[in-house]
Amino acid sequence: MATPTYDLLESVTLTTAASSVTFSSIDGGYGDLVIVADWGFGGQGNLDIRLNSDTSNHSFVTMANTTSGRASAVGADGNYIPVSYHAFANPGTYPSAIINFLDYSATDKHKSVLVRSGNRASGIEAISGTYASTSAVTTIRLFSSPNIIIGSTFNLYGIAKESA
Amino acid sequence: MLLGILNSQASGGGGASAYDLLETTTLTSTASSVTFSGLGSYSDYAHLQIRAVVRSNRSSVSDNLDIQINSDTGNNYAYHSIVGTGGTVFGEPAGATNKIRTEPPIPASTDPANTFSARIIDILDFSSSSKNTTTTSLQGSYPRGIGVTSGGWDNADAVTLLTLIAQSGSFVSGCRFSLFGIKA
Repeated sequence: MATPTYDLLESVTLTTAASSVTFSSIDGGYGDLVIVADWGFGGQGNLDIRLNSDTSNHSFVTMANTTSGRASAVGADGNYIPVSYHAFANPGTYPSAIINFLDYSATDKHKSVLVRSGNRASGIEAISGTYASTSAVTTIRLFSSPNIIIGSTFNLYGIAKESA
Repeated sequence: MLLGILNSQASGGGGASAYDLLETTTLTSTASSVTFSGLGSYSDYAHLQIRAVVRSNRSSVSDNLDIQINSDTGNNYAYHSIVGTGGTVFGEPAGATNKIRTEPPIPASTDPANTFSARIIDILDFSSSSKNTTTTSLQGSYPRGIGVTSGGWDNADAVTLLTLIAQSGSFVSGCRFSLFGIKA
């Protein structure tokens, strides 16, 4: 039997500039989470993700086509997974991203993150991230060095994996 | 990917759900393939999406995840991937082959324990009988890489059966495959 899903869990629209946006006490009852983000920066920068406030155990592989050409990079056991890595954004350009967290509440798997992001000025990229922990993800922090500007939006959705 | 924007529009308009979970298979033992059959009963949906979390028991650093449609094992498929592995970005085309291969590979036995790969695979206009079937997918894992694949099945039949295959080994217990329907 079909189960309607893709439920909006939380929506954030910044009314003041902020260096981060945090989704906490996340409902563990879904299979996957998706964040749809559309934001801007007060200076040149990139947006990153940290799970469960853990300052290690985040690894990633990137792939991008930017104004500088194709690029790919890896990062191991660090304190973030990038939402954008090569395709940095300047003020006045508005990046967007769809960020997927699969089996985020599983306790028998490291967590898998898939990102598709980009902005019209500097490029487009896809990123695969791994959070090397079997703890359920309960907190997602999105952060950057230049502040995230007023009007930026971050919507968190839950996708079921079991029929209702 | 289709998701996200579609459903945002649906909820904003106060309409019925446009994105439904149809089936989930979570393996309790190893399996060399996973099949979704009887897809003709989902013809009121425009598109299908598979969200999978996978790992292989192959005695190697990696294995491949391939797709076959309607049990067709002939050389009636083509695909083109772009893959980043940290050092390089490369293309991987294949025509007249017997599967759609989603690249990069999935983790296998010699990868770190508990490491799985996420795959999001869209099958567009799957019940059309006037178009060859097309797929798009986004997939990856650390350290195997990140990739996007466009696939085609050179047949205009409606898709009634999808098979996901571990090329050399088997999917391990705990792998999860969820099938969603997306309305037009």
